[in-house]
Amino acid sequence: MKQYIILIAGLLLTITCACSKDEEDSSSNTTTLSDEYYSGGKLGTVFNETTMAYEQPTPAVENNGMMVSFKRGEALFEKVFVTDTLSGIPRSGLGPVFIRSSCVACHPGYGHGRRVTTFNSNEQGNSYLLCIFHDDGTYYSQFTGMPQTRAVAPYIPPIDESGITINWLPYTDEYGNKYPDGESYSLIYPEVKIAQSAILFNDVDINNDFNVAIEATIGIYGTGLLDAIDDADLIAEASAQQARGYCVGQLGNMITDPDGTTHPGRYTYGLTRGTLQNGPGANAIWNITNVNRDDRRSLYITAAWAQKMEELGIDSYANLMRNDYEPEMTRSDYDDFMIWHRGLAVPAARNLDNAQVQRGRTLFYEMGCTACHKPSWTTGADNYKGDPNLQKELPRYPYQKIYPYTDLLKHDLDMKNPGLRKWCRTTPLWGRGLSLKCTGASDHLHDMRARNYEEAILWHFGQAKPSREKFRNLSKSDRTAVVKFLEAI
Amino acid sequence: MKISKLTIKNLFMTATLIFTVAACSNDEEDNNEISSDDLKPTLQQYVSAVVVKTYNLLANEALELSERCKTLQQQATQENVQAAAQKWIDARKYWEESEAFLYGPATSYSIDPHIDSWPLDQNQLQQLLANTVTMSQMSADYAGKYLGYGLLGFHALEYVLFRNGQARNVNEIPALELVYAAAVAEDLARQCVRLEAAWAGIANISNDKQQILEDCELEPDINYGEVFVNAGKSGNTVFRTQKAAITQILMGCSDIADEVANTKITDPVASGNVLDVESWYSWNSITDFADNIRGIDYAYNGERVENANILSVSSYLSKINPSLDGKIREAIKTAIREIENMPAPFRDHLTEAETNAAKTACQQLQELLDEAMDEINN
Repeated sequence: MKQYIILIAGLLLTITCACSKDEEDSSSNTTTLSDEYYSGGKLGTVFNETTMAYEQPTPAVENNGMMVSFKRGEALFEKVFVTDTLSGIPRSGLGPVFIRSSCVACHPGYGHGRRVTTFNSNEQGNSYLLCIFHDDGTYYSQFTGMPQTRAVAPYIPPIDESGITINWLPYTDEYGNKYPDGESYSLIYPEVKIAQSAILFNDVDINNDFNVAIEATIGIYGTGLLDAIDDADLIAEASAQQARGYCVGQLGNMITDPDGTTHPGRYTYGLTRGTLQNGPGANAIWNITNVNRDDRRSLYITAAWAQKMEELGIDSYANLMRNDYEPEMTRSDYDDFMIWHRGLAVPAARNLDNAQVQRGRTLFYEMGCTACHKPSWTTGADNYKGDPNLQKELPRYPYQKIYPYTDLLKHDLDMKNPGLRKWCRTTPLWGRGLSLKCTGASDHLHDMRARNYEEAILWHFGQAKPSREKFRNLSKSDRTAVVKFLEAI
Repeated sequence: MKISKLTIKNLFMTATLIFTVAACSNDEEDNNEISSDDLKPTLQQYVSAVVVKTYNLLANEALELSERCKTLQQQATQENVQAAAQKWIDARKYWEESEAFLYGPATSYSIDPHIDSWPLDQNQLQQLLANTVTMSQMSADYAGKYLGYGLLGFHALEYVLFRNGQARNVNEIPALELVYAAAVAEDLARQCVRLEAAWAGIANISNDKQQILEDCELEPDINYGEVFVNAGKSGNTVFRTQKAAITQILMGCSDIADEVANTKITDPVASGNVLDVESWYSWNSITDFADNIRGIDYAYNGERVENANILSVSSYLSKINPSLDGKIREAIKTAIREIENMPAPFRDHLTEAETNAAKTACQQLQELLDEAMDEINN
């Protein structure tokens, strides 16, 4: 299941092209198509389209003898953390308050979460994080940026999740949700509420300046490849978009990492993380579980919550707010986790030489989708930065041509009820066609409101509306071809 | 998976072959299926005789385990502890075998973490048992909905029922632990029934089991077995080709061989930490590992017996590469033998010398299974 697929594809195409009248053009297409199978480049692609496609190590991991660490890191991701603190217990230190007890709970099959209708954080695959924010987008000081709904007794979480409701409401566009050819489509979006009684703090009034939304996780495969893109290239892409004057993306804020280096944000929907080594995963394994490590020896809580615990006689404010907790995860374990994280391969593209897929590819370009879903990047030297405490080498991906289909910039899709962020990072599209197979679901967008590719495209308003219009005006067979292309990459 | 030398060699041979075939073909679009073999009967055999059959046995044993835990709660006798512990071992066997097909509903419905997370969160368990309000409403419904995965499943029951590799002394089991165990066992059984239904189709399981799922609203919304059997059919977006389904069977096998070799054995031996061994109380690890490989045996041979069925991945591969098929069948036997040759209990023998042969045998099996995936796709 490896490189031979590429050769077969390449050869088939060569044969096809040899029968064509335009041999020169076809020959150049052959080269391009063959490259595109390597979504994660030669060092970052795995030829595997089984249900385990998102879980595989990159060739860089295997080539550099990192498999033992990779497997250890994998276990930290997949298995639950427990609250016990007895020395030697694997994956211990959960709590006192937490969001989930395992990483995989929010990344089923290592992919995106799925759309759910009730907020039960115990339900694996419900990857929603709550966002509680003022009208101006800032967080309430009483809650952490990712508010907790679980706690280890006798502690009490700031929010009782039984008081959270998610309503999925219908949305109708100006065309009455109909294509010009008469076919209908349906769109839904979430409205999230928290009952006043579910909030631990008396001074939070849900009737006053109180907004709540949900954001789902995204897939984690290939994030190491994205880290290998040079900051300068990312900044250059943002400048080029400024210059072109349409679909102008916003560069993420500059973020200074623990090693003192500064980088434009490239991870999370809001582009709030600049490197993988100080990225969402490095953060999440601490703040989702509240498991301390040597460089994060405080709890992910707010002063307001600590104060409340003191008022209730559960713990002292001073104890909870300490920043000298003993590490619960060892340095060696954490480094293995990061080797695994940076070592997850991207599944190779599939079926690109299929005529329908090729038609979809042509349309994808013609409709202007590539303005934001930038097909390819070439990584830099990949002298990764961010964390001065790592003691083990991480896998590297220098000078790889990769096909993530994202510009790593924020755009405004002007959606109904967008949630915390009106401007949102362009989601990488690579590998998403395997989502149903790998995760059991194939929902899309930041809150999983789109139940399939078609709905995802139809939620592209704002900057992307011209592309949406072009898609709407395609014939049914061409619309299907676009989806087939998306499934193939 | 590693790239084998064989793959590289076959790669060029295949490329040449494809070139020839394709050059004579007028059908440019038909590139999904190189082979015209109809593998549907093989897939059907795997689904019905291996997957559904194993999950059926698992569900039956888990339901019996649930009944025995209820009996134990009502009558706390040593005999009833023994009976429940034995049924735990019986159910565990089928679960471990099923880890050779730990994909589809087992993961998409989160049944694997729901019933097989470890270690047990003892601190939370003590908090739970001390909470009289919560314990007064303890039930399978409550457990399934409110207890985290660290408090559910096989390892929670193992804690209540076993100590030091033996059934626990009944006099040492607090009454509330038996209430907890009965709830967890019933929750476990529901999950196992759901697994069977998700592969067999809910209409094809017993009426009693259908009723269980209906009562707790756990009816699966898919028939994964049907999706699997109909691989390659138009509109099947999960398994686009029959070979993709055959490859999936092998991938499931490879994955558990890898897990046994490179995590279950390697991790605790590398750390020397007895707490890195999964079965803290039953000391069932060697049986677990061997049953994992037996699951590979059944999946590969298309029957829950050791001899290859005529409709199996083994028989299919034997037509393409009989030597490789022979090596895999032998490697399965070797892996089981070497695992069972390890001194028991595993937790007391965490040395390279005592475990290396088993680890190596499982690694070799994995490499051969990966080679088979290459071979089938060539």
